[in-house]
Amino acid sequence: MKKKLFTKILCLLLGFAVIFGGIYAVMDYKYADSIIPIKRFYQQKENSIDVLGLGTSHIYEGLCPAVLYREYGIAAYDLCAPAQAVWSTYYYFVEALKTQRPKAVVFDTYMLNTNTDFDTTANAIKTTYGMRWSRNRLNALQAAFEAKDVVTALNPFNQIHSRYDDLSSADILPYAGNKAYYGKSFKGFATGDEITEITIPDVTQWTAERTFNEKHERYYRAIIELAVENKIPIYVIAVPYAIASDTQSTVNTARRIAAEYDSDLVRFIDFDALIDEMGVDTKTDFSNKQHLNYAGSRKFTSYFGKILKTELELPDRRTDAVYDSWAENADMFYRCYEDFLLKHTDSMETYLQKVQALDDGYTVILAENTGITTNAAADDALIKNGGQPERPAALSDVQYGDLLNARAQAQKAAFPDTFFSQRFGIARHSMQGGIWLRAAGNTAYTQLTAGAEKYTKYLKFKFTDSAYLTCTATATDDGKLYTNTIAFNGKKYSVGINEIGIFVYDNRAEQFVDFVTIAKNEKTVKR
Amino acid sequence: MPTLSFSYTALPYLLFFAAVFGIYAVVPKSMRAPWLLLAGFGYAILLSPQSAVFALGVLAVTYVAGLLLGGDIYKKQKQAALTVSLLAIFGLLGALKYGGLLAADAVKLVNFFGGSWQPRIKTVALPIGVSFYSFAACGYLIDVYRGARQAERNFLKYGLFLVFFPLFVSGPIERADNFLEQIDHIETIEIIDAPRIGAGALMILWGYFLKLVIADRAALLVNNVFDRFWAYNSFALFVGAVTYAIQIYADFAGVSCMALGGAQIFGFSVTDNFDAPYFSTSIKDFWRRWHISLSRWFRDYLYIPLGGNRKGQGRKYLNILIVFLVCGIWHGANRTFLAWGLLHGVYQIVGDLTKAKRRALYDRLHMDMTRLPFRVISTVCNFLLVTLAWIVFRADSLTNAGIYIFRMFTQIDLWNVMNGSIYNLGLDNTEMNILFIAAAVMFFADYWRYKKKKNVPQLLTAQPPLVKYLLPAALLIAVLVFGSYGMSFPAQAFIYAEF
Repeated sequence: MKKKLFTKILCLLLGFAVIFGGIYAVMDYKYADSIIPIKRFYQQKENSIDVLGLGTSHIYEGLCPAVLYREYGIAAYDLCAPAQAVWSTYYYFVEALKTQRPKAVVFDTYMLNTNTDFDTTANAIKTTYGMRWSRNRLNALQAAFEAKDVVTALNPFNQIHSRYDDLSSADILPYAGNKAYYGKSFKGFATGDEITEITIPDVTQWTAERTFNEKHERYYRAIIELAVENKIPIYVIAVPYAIASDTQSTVNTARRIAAEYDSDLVRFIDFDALIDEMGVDTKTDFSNKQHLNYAGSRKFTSYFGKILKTELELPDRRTDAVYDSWAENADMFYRCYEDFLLKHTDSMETYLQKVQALDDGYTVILAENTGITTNAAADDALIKNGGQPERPAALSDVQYGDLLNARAQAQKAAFPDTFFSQRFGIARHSMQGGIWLRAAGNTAYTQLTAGAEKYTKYLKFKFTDSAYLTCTATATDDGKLYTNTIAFNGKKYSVGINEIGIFVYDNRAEQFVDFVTIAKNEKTVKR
Repeated sequence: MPTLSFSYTALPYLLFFAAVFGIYAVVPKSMRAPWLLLAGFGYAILLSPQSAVFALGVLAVTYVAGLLLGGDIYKKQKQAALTVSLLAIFGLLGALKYGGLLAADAVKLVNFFGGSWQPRIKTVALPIGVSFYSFAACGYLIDVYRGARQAERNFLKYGLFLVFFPLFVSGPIERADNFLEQIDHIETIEIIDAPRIGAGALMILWGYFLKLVIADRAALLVNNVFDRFWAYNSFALFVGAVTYAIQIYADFAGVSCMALGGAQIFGFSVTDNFDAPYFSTSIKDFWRRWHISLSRWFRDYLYIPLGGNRKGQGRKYLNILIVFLVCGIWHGANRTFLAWGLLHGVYQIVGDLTKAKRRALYDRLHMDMTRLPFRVISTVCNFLLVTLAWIVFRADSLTNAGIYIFRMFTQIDLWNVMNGSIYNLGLDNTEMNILFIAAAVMFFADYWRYKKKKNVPQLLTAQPPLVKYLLPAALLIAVLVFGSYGMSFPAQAFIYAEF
């Protein structure tokens, strides 16, 4: 009887655990910019990290472990969260020291600009919920959440259960569905691939300071003191961004406080003042006013890495098999960096050369749309009227033939057959246009527009990425109009008449790279 | 310092419950009652020390009064003892509930006649649960006075009757003859009785579903509509009123299920406060199904002593009005509660007065009152009458209630029914759909109960094994995922914990 009861209770508890665990696993936060970095940090081999980046997005979008590794053999990790308050940074630092013994710590001063005593709920969650349960996490919760919310925050399920409206494929896929950034070799770095021109005023003469909020200063000092206690050199830095006079006051105060420690271990660098020396271009190297992009972070990290290598005795890890994940991370970064460059290439010739040079880890789709119909007169009208399907005045058969011929010559002059064969290895079918799929260095698929009334090719890249390549023959008053389209994840990329469209997908990074169109007689690509 | 909530839906309460039960299971049988009494006062202190002091005061006064009433004294002395003790309890309750309102009215009256009196009126927060255990205690005293039961001489047992913690916050208002008798046999309770504990746990889970998934979600819409009723027209106001009817039922039935389930786990059987009230076909029927323990209390200790229906029709209607007026007063210090009580009294009287004529009309129209369509129409009409009264109950003042109802019937915009504006009343599409589905589940369960006369655990126990286990699992998932708790949802107090 007792055995039966015991079995029942056990089954009940097991059932509850399965239900609860299943819900928890799906609903748990998977913030790629905050929860994942610390969870991955725990997976790093003990005492393997040489340089630890701490702070906000200024660090994880600026200090690139891949560049440090590739150029200097430094093993770095960015243990950060967006807009992470100084207290959370302190507790992250404490957490890091449980398993790592870094040879240098880099801390960004940006959040010292703020004045609040507690985080917003969203930020508090982002900067604490990834931590493992320990006394340190409890302290972090108490520092981040207002007192009234601390008890609720102790049980993350209080928050995560209501995410049912936000669930996405990232909640069930490994690496949150984004291998490019958060694959197994992820080292905390993730930057933007946009380009925004920013203005950085000259604030070098601005010497004013500002009074820090008491809690901010207390934790700022605690970070420095923790580094000094553990005899770890700490670089307090200001990562370049569109700084203003008031934020420069923060930098000045942070510099003065760092100097108060009068220790070789505490070093301060304001990289905003070194923009020119680093070669960071305000026109091309920022993704927005706050953050460096791929190009900017590469330049900044390269410069900073030189300082680190010069000032500290950092081992070269490039030949150490233990650090293979850093090598993989660097491969991925430089691959994404090339994708970034391609995405921002405007010259048609350069673009085509880059596409030609892509390795077999890319899928390239070409679509040529000549706007051909089965009605020759309408074809001529399309050419004459810039693609508008307007019926021309009645022409004789001879005149039709001449126009058709003229059009063919014009088309071939703009995009000759050799354009396709030499650049892409594609045998183009005279004038009809079509869709060609190039994968792993070969033409994997060809569909000429004249070949079908409607033909759709479905491409599956990864769980969340797919494309439809469609050739359609649409009945019009003038006959049939053939068009080619590429639809990627529901977004339609159209190729205009007498244009060529190029779609590039990076299979290894598992990300869409770019789609451009090339019009005849143009020297630049259109996006 | 972080503060802990010991509301029935808070994790600290569940831990407290588990700890009390764990110790209850292992202490010697003779220590069960003392332990539960200690736990009851411990819980009251955790809620607020003031609540514990009040409970102790009521316990001491009524215990002594009970002994006096049960003792060998003259009838007049008994009458005096009963009167004094009831006056003490109801006086205290009245002062706590109505002191502030009456004082403010007195000041208004003086100033109306030219005075310039501006005293500082200090009100005392109503101790949690006081309305429930006070009524239970008074019922006990009246029973002893009538000789319907012996006075309880064991202070620990009597104390447990008043402060049994699963019932402390919102009742039900348990009757002494039922509960004290069970306490007498507390040592014979088989603690580890899996079916009983399972049924109790399921009852609590159902209570959580009602409270967290339905009531607290509905509250977001209701609060929005009632706070801004002047900005809404008939459709939104109608939705707000119906949603409030759902909210208050789910809220109070939810806490009652938690109390009932909690008591059941400890081995006690207490009054089920609700019996599918929105399926009633008349107001009289509604009060047989709504807040049953309070309705019975008023019937046995007020309506019948007033003469009930034994002294003519006029007296009967007067008694009904008195009972519902007192019922309104019981709910708190606002004229809206009085008006709500009176409205229900008027409903009943009008219903009774027109009963014969309505029947004659139905006969003339050849309408069969036992047929389903007739019963459905009666149920819907009754629900709408109850909902109309809930508007008065929920409004901040009688004026606001009047404006709300006036706008609901005059600012017609029924074309909004289909244009999606229902999703702009405080709940977005997802939340509104969850509420709709959950309310449908609640009404389905109530309909089941209405037909089969069984509560949710009893109904589930009778199902095939797969359904028996899958439905509770689905209920658990619904509560865990769709429950309104945590920082994303503003915490909603139990409505009846404030009365």
